[in-house]
This record gives sequence, C-alpha cells and structure tokens, in this order.
Amino acid sequence: MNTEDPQAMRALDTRLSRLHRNLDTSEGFEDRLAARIADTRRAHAAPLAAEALAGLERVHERERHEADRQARLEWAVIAVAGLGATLAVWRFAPLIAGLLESYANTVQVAPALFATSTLAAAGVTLWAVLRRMGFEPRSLLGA
Amino acid sequence: MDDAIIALLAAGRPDDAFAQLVPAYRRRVFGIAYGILRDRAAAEDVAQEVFVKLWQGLSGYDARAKLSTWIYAIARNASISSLRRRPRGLSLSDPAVSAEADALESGATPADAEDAQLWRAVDRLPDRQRQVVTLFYQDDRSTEEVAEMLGLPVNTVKTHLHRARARLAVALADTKENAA
Repeated sequence: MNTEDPQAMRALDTRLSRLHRNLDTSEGFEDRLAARIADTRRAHAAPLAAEALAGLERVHERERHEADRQARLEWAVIAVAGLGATLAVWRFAPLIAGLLESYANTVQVAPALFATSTLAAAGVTLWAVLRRMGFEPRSLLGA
Repeated sequence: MDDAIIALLAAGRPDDAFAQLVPAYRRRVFGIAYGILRDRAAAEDVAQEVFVKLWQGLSGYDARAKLSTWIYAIARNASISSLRRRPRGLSLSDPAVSAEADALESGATPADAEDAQLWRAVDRLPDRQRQVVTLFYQDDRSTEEVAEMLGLPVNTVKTHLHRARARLAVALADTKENAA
C-alpha cells in the first residue's frame, strides 16, 4: 500500500475505525460498578460510624477535662482569697475594729442609711450566689 | 455534558452527577486503560477502579482543573499503576486481540483476513502510537481530544498518528504481497 495514496489511507482509516468501534466495556459494566460502589459504601459506613462515635467521645472527654480544670481553678481562687482575707483580718485587726466602731456610730447617727446599704450589699451578694448556682434571680421578679 | 455534571455537583447532588458521568466517560476511560494495558479484562477492571475513585472524590471536585482533564489523569495513573503491579515477564498482548484476529482470519472473505492482520499490526505498534491509534479510531476523535486524554501536546499526537498510519499501511501492504 502506498502511504502517499489518499484513497488507500482513507480505506485504512475506515477499516481502523470499524475495528476499534467495539472497543468498549463488556455488557453489565454499569451494574457491576453500582454493586462495587454499594460494597464500598457499606465497607466505609461501619468505620465511619465508629469514627463518629470516637469523635463524640473525644469531645466529651475534652469537655470533662475542661470542667475539672475550671473547678480546680475556682477552688484555688477561693482558697487564696479566703487565706488572704484571714491574713488581712489578722494583720489589720485594729483598723477593722476602728471601722466597725465608726459603723456603729453611723447606725446611731443615720440608721436608715445603714439599713439600706446593708440590705443592698446583702441583695447583691445573694444575686451573685444564686447566679453562681445556675439560678436566674430575674425569674423571681417575673422577668 | 461536563457543564451539566458540574451544575449537579454545585447543587449538592453528587450521586446524580455521577449517574451522568459514567455513561459519558465509560468508553473514554476504558479506551485510555486499554491503550496502556492492552488487555480488555484488565482495562475493564481499571475502568471500574477509576469510577469508584471518581465516586469517592466527586463531591470534593473543586473545578480548578477541567472535569475531563481530572478524569483522564486519574484514568492514566490507575492504568500505569495497574501495569506496574503486573508480574514481570507477563505478556502485555491481550489474549482477546489474538482471539479476535483468529476469529476474523477464520472468516469467509479476504477482507476479514486483512482485518485480522491489521489487528495484529496495531498490537505490534510502539506503546504511544498504539495508544493514539486506539483513542483516535475508537470514536473518531479529534487529535486535540486524544491529546487531552493522553496528556500530550497536540503536535506529538499528530506525529504519533502519522507514523502509526504509515506503519500500518506498510504492514498491510506486506501482508497483501505475501498473500499474492
């Protein structure tokens, strides 16, 4: 065959096209693929569920650690504050005694002012304690 | 076709996108695998593997590369990996090529015998030339499309195709002379 002969080359092209036309996957390829994907999906589903559960447990564990750390920190703050307060009372006992004496004088001079400020301080303290306990004091006011 | 598939992906429907992708790319993926592996069964196995990979990765496709380019690259890599996994010394020639050639040779007309010789001649072509011939004639594709499928420059594909056709023409002429 002359490779310069266009007619002969066209015939070759036609023959090659005909020979390659049936170059395709066998019957049922897409069904087999669907089955393979279903298998893959099933095989992946179990590890994925286990992984999700493990992830959830990791999150819970992290939260528990964080809560423990927070509680330890709060206890430390309370202990230091308590100790500090005790030392302060010990160290400044004469000054405190003087202050108490002046308070006592205030009660005598302006009892209404003393009662109001004492009630306000008690209210603020109670409010803070209730909030710390997770109770919403506003609900008592109907808010 | 690619636009429709990408639109389905953008709409968060990867399963529908995949359902459109398989028939659109089945012959092309198989053609790439067959051109590299020269074995229908192995090529079909690779084609299945490629589509499973596409199914797994389709929802993560970010359109940075053309969809077709991405699919062809996966198909080429899977085929080359499969080729490397083959035991050394195993013949690359597809038993189906011989069977097909034998069947054609046993046909009644001289044209069948010529077709059989042509099949064998294609099978003997150098790897790149055979891959180009396979993809070019499988669906009468353009050299541009074959170039994209094989990840080669268009001019390289044209050169391979020109040389392959010349070889095949000579092989066919030799067969005719021997028969005469």
